[in-house]
Amino acid sequence: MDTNRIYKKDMVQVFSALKKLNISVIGQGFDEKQRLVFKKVSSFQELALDEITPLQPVKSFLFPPTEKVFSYAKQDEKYQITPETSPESSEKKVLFGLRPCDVHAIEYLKKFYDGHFPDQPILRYLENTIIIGIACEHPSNACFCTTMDISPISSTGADVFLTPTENFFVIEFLTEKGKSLQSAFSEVLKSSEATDVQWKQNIETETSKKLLEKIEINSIKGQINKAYDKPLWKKYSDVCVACGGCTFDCPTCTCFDMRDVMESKKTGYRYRAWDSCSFASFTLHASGHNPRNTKMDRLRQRIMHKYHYTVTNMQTWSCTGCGRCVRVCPVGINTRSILKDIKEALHE
Amino acid sequence: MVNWTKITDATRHYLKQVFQSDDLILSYTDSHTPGMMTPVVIRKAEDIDSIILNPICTQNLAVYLSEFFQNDIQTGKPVKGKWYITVKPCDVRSVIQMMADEQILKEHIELIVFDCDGTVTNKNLKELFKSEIRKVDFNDHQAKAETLLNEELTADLSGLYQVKCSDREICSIPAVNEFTFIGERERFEFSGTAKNTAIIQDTLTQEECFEKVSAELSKCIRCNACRNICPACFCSDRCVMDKPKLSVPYITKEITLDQIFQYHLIRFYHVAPNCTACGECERICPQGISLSIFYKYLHRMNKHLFGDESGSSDSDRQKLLSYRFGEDLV
Repeated sequence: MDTNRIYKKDMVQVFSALKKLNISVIGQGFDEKQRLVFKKVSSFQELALDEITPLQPVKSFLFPPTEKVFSYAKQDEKYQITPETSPESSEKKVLFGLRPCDVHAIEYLKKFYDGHFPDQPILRYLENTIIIGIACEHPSNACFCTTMDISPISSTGADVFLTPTENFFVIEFLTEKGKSLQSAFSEVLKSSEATDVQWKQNIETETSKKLLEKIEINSIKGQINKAYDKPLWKKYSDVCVACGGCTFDCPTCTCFDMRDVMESKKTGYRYRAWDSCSFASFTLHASGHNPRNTKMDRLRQRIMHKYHYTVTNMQTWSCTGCGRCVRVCPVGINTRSILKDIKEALHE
Repeated sequence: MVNWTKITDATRHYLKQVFQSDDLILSYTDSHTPGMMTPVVIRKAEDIDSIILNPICTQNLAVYLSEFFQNDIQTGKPVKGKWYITVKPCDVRSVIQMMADEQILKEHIELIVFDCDGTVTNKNLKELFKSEIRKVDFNDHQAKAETLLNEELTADLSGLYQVKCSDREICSIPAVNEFTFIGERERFEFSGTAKNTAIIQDTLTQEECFEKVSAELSKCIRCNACRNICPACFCSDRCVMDKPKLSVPYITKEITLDQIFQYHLIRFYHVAPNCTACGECERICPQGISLSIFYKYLHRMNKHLFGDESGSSDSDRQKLLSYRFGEDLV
């Protein structure tokens, strides 16, 4: 494995090397109103790596909240269809300092959108993206990644992985894409010492002290559907206001709605916009029938999808334990508690 | 000064005395999310002991009332027992306004108002302790927290209360309805610290106002959270935003500035007469948009133009817009 050191004081050169290669950098930092967000950054100082993860996940860059799909125009009785390609998706870029949970989320999105009907814009975006992961030192009080079998130092899915220490990063180039950066960084790469493997372990021990207690849910993996008729859902759906915040801030929620807009008799366009299974209109049929008519149905669907349907269909949880749904919920519904309750209900 | 243990105990004690089967209690309980409480619906007497009241009981429980009531109308079930609802003084107005709009029936609701010095959101707590907390307890103005590394921190809450807690008018209880007051004082009197907030001034020109407003709203992701948490937005799934294809082709789901404006302006005008400035929309906005600049403005304009004050009467019809009992399309 290629392991090197990069000193934090040399990060200026790293950023100018990336700029020379025309690679833009996206990472977590503060916006003009001091809100923690993922944004385009131009210097290392703009990054806020010592904070918890921003509430809005990095997904909104590769899968924008609204996106034009194509536009059409009628000419001589024929329709002309022009697909819309956003220039951003073919731009080279680096996602800098993603935590293991967010890297796993991108892995999941890749797997999901590269299914039976590959989603071209998103896959193109990811193709042009190099992911630089970072070991997580600053979990929030809602994080439960270990419950979802993700370690705070897991480098799976990342092209380059950083382990932060006080003065330098231990840097590993893991994939071909990651190695393409190696020459650009060559000036600042310092050789590592044998003890450098220890840093990662240190972070794991320190971070797991901060994390909430792990819930052992592997024993109920694939059986969560048995809790379908249990009374626990009512307890949570009674207080849920179906605001959709948990799905909009979830790094692995993939649903969207397609709509057509007629601009004139002859021209128009189709767009897609995020949608949420918490909304009643999500499953509303044209007949007026709604198969998920109550809030309870919809809340159960969200949980079942994350922890059961993707397990049976894609052999993976579609939750990374990033805790954003817990942090955003205005009425204090805690996904971790729901998992606990499911486990209890199944063991009864 | 409020002694929260005493208030919690007194509330439980009172409810245990009055509760009968078929009754329903709306209150707060622990959410297992640090710095956050969760609303709870109690249908059995033995669950009354789960009620906890403290300064992080931020949610406005009035939002659930119309939903329960609508369910009862739709399924044809008559409301059987009484509905006890524990509210902060600021939320009383929301309930009373709902009565005026005939979304709930007066005779079914029993208000239990508990004493309050001001409420704190978990965002405020994060600012206060400057670190992630695992647990937090309250007594008077003091908050005692445990960090993720089990260090103990204590801090003073006064001065950190929510923006809305700076407005004395919001938490004065209108003298129209009977209610049970729980607290050591004779009657509720606001004692928090006032904080001034930027609002839309009447002196702004149209362009300045537009600039100010669009700077805030451009952050919106149209998740509808502000609509769903709003006690004044009781159309629930009959909302015009949820059926764009039916009648209004110019409402799309796109997240562009003009669509965002459209959504918010429709909502603001719709709730202008019955918004009681409870501030829930601002608290829950996942994008941190200062929605208070709008509701404060609407509140003032409604009073100025129509002489109406929402939440001050349980029977007065609002002049701008009013609703009727069981109305199908609100």
